[in-house]
Amino acid sequence: MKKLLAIVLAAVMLLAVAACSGSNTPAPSGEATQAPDANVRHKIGMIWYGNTDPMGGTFYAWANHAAELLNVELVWHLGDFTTEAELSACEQMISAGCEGVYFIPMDTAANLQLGNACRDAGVYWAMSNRDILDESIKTACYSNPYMVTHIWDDSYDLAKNMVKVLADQGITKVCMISGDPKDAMMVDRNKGFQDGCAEYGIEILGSFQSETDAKVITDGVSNFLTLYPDVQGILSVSGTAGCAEAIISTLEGSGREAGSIKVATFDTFDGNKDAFEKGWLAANAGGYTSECLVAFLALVNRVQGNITTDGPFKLHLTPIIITNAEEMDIFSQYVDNPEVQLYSDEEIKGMVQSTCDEAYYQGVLDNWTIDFIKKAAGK
Amino acid sequence: MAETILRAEHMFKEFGATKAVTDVTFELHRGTVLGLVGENGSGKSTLSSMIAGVYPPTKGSMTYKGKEYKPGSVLEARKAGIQYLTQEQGTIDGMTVAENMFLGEEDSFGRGGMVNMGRLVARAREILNENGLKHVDPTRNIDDYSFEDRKMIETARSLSKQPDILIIDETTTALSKKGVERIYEIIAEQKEKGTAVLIISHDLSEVQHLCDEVMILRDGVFIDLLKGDDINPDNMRRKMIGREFEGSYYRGDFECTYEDEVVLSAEGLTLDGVFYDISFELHRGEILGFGGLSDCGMHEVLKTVFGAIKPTRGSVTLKEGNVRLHSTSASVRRKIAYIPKDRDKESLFQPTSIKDNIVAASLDKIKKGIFISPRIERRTANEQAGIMEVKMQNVNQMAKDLSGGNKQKVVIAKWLANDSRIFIMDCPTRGIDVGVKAKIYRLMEDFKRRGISVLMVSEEMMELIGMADRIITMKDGRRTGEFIRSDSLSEADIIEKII
Amino acid sequence: MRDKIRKIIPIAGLAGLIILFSLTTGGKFFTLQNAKNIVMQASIALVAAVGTVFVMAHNNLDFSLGGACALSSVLAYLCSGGNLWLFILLAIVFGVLCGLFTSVIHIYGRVPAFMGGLCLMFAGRGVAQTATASQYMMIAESGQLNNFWVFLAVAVTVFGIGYFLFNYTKIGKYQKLIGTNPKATELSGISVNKYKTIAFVISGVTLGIAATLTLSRSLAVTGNTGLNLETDVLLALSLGGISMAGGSATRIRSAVIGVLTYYILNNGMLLWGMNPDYVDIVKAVFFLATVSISIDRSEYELIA
Repeated sequence: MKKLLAIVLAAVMLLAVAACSGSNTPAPSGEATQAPDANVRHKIGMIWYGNTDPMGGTFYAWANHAAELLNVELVWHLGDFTTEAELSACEQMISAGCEGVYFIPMDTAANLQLGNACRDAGVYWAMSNRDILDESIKTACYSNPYMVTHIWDDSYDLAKNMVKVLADQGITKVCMISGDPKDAMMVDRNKGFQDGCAEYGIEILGSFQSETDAKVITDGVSNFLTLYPDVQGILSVSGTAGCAEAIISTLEGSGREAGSIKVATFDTFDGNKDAFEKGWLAANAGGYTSECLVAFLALVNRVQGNITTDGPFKLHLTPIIITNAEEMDIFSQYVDNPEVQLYSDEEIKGMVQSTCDEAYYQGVLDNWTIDFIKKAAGK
Repeated sequence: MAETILRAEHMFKEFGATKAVTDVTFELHRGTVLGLVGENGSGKSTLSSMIAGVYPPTKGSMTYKGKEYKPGSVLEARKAGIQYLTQEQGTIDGMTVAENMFLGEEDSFGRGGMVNMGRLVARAREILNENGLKHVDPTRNIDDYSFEDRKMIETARSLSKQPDILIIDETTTALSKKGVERIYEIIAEQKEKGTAVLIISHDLSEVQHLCDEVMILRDGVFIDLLKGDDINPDNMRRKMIGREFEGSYYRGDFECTYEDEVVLSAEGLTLDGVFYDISFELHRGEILGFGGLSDCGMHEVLKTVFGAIKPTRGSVTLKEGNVRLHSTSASVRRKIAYIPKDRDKESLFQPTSIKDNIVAASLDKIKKGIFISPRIERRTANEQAGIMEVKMQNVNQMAKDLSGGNKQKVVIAKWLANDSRIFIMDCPTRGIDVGVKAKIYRLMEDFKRRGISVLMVSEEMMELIGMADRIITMKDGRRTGEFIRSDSLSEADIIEKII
Repeated sequence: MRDKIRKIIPIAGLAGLIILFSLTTGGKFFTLQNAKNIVMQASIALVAAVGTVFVMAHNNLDFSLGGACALSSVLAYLCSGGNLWLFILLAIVFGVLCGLFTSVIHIYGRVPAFMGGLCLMFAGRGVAQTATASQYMMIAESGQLNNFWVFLAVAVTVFGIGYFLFNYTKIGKYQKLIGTNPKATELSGISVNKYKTIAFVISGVTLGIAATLTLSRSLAVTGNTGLNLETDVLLALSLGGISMAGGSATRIRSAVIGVLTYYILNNGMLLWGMNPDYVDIVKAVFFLATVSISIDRSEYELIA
């Protein structure tokens, strides 16, 4: 047994040594193919959280479709939720010969770690859906010549716009469900709601904090109704994990006239169309998948050598605010549905051209509206 | 001769390279008790297991009631009228007494997969009453009852349907006097009813007393079939080992000999509910025996002395250094050895090499700094296994593959390796054959010569009388008497104090 | 014979994988860089697995690894104020405290250790998520440890010390005896509770080291630090042919064989560019095939 073990280990060592001595003359294909060449099939690493939920499945389908269209080979690695895991996947993709790596950073530090790994190997990288919180990391990333995109969602403006929807309906008194004051994204949302209310002359009667606990939401909303009988609207920073459903069902069970209180909440949820029809829901925000596509296509563009400028495109996306049942219906049917390609083949090809610059991509993101979806869906 | 009910011809059984049974032919007759004796590993249990359907023979055939007999399982054999009582626990924990009694036969109590529990329980109660187990409630969990009760329930079950063959494999070893007597009664009853009975036992006087015929096996091979006056312990012992004993079986002398120096003393030891106010002094070179019934508390006294049980009151003091013993590790550090009664559960590491078993208690002696040299381990194990004459291929062999007697030798070797000065032995010869027994007795004599002290418990009165310098008797947890070694001491003297 | 096959399967599986991937990845598998990747990725699990072997040898399962890693990282960060060297020391200290917690629950609560472990897993994860939500816990200079040679040195040293302790000292030998028969161990004059506790302490030390390695790759402690560490380690050990019931059949080489097998399998499938929908299925099939052959099913045969 021990002998066998020793033999196997020795063989492995030997092979490793042989391999290492052979690897002194690597052929980094990335540098050799800087010039645009449509015939080369480039390889892109995709570090993605999973393909079973609506958004995950949709982008998985979109990217595979675009890759086929653009003659790009994709290497997927699913289910990484820590920087360590994302870094491991990234290192292996570099070994696998990928010339670009796309990921959503699970933590701000992931930008630095994966970015450095890519830079050392001469591999491009693109990220989306997150801001970079730490200034020193942001500086380091921005000076990394291999960074292709930094795309984040604009929660502050979005929150303000949601308040505006309520103000336009003549609401002057609201209650607010806020988020963790130490979480950057939640800070944006809280602040957007507060500033929006100040700007549009809405009084915030009361507030409490909860993002994920439906039970807390149910109790809190009941308290609002008891303490502030004149409340006209409810703002909520989060609608995930059954929170939005809890708000609506509490209102429905309160005995108030349907639609006498208007809700504006982040995150789409089950029964939102019905809530619009009954009049409880005034504004619902969601739709982040186009960020991923833009980041991915900009990366392909850079890898193919169409764009030679160093440094990242800094882009932001404002998610969509839905304000009525009809739009909600379209949104539910066409956004985050893996069966539906919202961007046409021409539009996809259009995003991989030498003429594409930061302004062009920002334009694509700015075009991400309910009207765009209606048009894409042929409605 | 009575009618032949089962004939086994040219039976072979091999477990891998081990030949457990080689070419054995024998017959069982109605109304006749056949004893099966041999040393550990001689193939007795293997042979009876094949009749009982535990596993098929490698080669050979059996004819039962005139037809070819090939049982596929114990259940099948049971349905054909062959009942097998083993030394192991044959009941399943977590089920009720009644469920255990009719395991595999539930069908006869219902229709279409449904079992009529009421009828099942009623029938169980009936059988229990017939067998003097009125205190057992068939609806309670089997684990609520003692080992002995469970064994008796199992026995009652096997007799609920009149068997044609009854196999009793060392069942009496673990039972109290009362249980043993009940088994003897059952054997007599069954013999009367024309059942063929096969008994496996190490207790040669028991065999002499019960059996009409005795078959001797050695190393899996048939040696002899004894009848009538040939059935006596000396004759059986000789045939089992295949040679004459040198000198006497027990100690040769009848002197109470030990030095004046006290090595260990127990002071008012009490474990509430088990034993009360036990005091004694153990001298250098003394064999101090404890005698009593199995449940009198003597086993627990030994465990308490060793430090494995914390007494409610009282203390154990080692005279050297005047230290109180309170844990097993403290005891072993001070060279005290403990050989438990339940070898497989409490002293042996079964799926572990003989080497690791032997050095388990003496790593402190073997290590240099914190390093334990495999070379010294192996040397120590070989040395001690050699002293104990363990029958093995080499010290890397697994302990579970050894026979009972050799397992016990390994356990003793473990303590010899630690240079133990006091041996606490709980039934050291339980379930092992005469050859190894004699070996242990010689070792104990040698201990005396070397000034090593022995504290021993035995359920065999002859062993106590034969070996101990002093015998302390116990009954219901209390000390009832003390005997000094002499040639006039008889079993009756002791039994009077323990019952 | 069957027994021999059973013992050889884990190492044969590893060798088979290495040969398979060498031949089918167009030379990508056998590059210095890829070897470095595998070593670095496997190191964290290997270090944690070495400690876990001691716990498994005495027949306990430790489910706390991931949660304990998060908890000790968070506490070490908070107490060290972001100083790297202090963090390393404190991560080990808190790792040991986590181990002691599990062993106290196990020994004095008289419940299987995995219950204490489960408790730590959830509590540790919860505390980490709460604490990291209010503060960004980054130690940027930990990145300097994210180096192949550092990882290799740590992995080799930890495994070397573990190998020595496990095979050549009382600590390892007693774990195996306890796993085989705890009662007989106690009655051989060995303090079972003491040695079980020592196993958890060792597991705590390796956990602390694993937490440090994790930090050096992540730079920051987050609510997800150490996520899935316990499953990675237990899966790897199973692939390495570890005895599930502990005892004398436990071998510390299971850690290195298993962890390498696990990470090489992941690596090779990625190099193949395998469709991610099949990756988990292939892993499951490989796992089932290896473990079902290599697991020890031996029961005590009655030969009397």
